[in-house]
Amino acid sequence: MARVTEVSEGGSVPELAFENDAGCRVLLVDGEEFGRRTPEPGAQPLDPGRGEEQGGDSGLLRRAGALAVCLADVRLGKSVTCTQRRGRKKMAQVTHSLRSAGTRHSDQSRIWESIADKAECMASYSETSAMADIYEQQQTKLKEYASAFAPQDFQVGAVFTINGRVVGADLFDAPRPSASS
Amino acid sequence: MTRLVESYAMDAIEADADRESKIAAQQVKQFIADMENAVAERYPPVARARTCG
Repeated sequence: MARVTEVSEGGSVPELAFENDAGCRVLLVDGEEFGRRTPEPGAQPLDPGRGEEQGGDSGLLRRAGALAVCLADVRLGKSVTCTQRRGRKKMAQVTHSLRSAGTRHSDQSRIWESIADKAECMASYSETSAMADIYEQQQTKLKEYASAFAPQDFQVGAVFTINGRVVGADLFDAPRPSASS
Repeated sequence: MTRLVESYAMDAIEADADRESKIAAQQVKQFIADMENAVAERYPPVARARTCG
């Protein structure tokens, strides 16, 4: 069995503990959010660009924006879900961290800045700098897009273009019947 | 698949993408060809297997 938990009782925004007792190798895939947290009553809205230096309760609230790992081949339940896309910027940050300090840390402040930029661009607002809030506020448009792309029988992947430019491609681990989503 | 599409749709919304534009079939075909060439260059056995298959 493999488990993803907080690194301590208080938790840490950019870090999660991964324990693998499964007796086999487990692929960790970059995911999205883990442990989304609702602000306590009376909590002050956060300035998304300021990062961890705010400390105190803000540090806890900011966990909502934490990017987490998820397991490709271990079922963890609803709280951890995989997104098939990887953040190139974050990967670059982790690579830099590995080379400079031998650790796998991303720059959480930059991640929040990125989410804040996206929220501002899309006229969305999130008290906790959470991507999930932006998705919720764009649900109508997202559903329109999703309904326009019907899965094909035995589809093995997808290439995505935006304004005539290829922005990403995903390969599935196996051909998917059209009924799956 | 829905989740995957929504992930890219968010970028499309942010970019104010032209939703009426024609399917970019040529760009996609070129992209796939580029990927196949890259695989053949880095992993010749894979390219040989495709040829033989």
